[in-house]
Amino acid sequence: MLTKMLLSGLLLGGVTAEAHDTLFGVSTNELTVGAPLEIDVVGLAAGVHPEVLWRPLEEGSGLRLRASSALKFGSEFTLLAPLSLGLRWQTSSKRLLQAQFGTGLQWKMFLVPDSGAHQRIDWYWELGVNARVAPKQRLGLTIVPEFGLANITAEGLSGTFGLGLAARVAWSMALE
Amino acid sequence: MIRKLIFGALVALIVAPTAGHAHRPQTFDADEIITDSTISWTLPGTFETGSELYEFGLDYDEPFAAPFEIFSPTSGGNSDFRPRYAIIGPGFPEPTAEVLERLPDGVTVPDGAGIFLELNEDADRYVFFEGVMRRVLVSSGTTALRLAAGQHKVVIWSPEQTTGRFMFGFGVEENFEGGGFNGVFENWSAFAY
Amino acid sequence: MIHTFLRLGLVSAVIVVVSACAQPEQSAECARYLACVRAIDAQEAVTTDAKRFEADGACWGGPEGAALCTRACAGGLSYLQKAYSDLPEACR
Repeated sequence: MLTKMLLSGLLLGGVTAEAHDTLFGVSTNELTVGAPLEIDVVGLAAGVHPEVLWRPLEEGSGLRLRASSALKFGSEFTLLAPLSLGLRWQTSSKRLLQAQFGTGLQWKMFLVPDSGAHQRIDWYWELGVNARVAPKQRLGLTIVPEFGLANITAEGLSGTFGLGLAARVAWSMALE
Repeated sequence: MIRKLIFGALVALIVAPTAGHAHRPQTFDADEIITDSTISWTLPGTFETGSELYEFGLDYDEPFAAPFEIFSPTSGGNSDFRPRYAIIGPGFPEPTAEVLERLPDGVTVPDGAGIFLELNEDADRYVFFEGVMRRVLVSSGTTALRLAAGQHKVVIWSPEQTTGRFMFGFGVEENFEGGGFNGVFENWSAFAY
Repeated sequence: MIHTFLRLGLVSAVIVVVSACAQPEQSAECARYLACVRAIDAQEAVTTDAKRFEADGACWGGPEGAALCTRACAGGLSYLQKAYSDLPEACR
């Protein structure tokens, strides 16, 4: 239910009066949406991490630009990542098995009871594999190491070397 | 030129903020627990029966002032646990009978030594988010203490034999030389969960 | 034209990142605590290694360290006032 709500939020805003094969002015042929379930191994938390991928180059290109949000729940805090932006490279979508790796930046908020929101920017990496389970649909597993870059405080940015590691199981669908 | 600017922007994003603040991790089963009393350390422990006593020594050639505090990790319903600690050594006030009564069995105060006692009884305790390992910890309260030159002993115990987990932290200056961060990976569950 | 915009954008990003870095200063709490420690030192004819709390000390490298030290100094001064009866004027 939460995944559908988040995906709707990401996608519905782009619905316009134009031809329904575009979204945010981008051809849907170039878009893939994903609804991963994700578990953080550092700072135990689990939740959803929906994403939208855009292929900026010609068909057959493995490059994707990625935008996503995440909401995860742990016993010590709630993790909200309002926005991640990154790049992903993936092998041919014509193959049954597809490898992918990527990198990007993520804005995170650790919502801690009696301590407020602790915000920071992390640098993430992705290494994963997925399999085609139906036409235009894939199911995959990805490992995501993360490195804290900078805390966002009332006084400004400050350095951190926060650790992070997540495992992600994702269903994705190409909007072709 | 563009590539150099992109690289520079990435480097600036990573390097420009100064290094984050973290304590050197250590466990109580090390041969020598504190190898340098002048840097910052964090030591986790567990009271499984409530009768354990955790101790380590601090040695200073000159008087030394630094922050000290004890934390209760909130994971696993541990946030109500209130471990206590004392620092016994020169420069602290001579213990009263009331203070001596609060010490656990087996802990004595040598002649000429004083004692700092943290009972961890504040109703509202500060909640600290430790960002390196993403831990939420309830603090006894951070106290800057001035330790006189000489040998000191830090003693940690559990009141009324209650069980729970703690992390003890002191110092400010960071030093991870000689594989100082390896302890986190070697004792992952103690530091991470 | 695009290259010019890209150059301006990247240079601006670097400037924003560097200038947005937090640079805390010694807190009033630690200035007071340090003054007390120095006054006690003068009474005892010793010098305490308290350089982490000084204006150019390790406490002030970032907001997290600054907050920790500020809490520590406030708690430390309060402890001294409760534990000792013969403190110098700078500690009261």
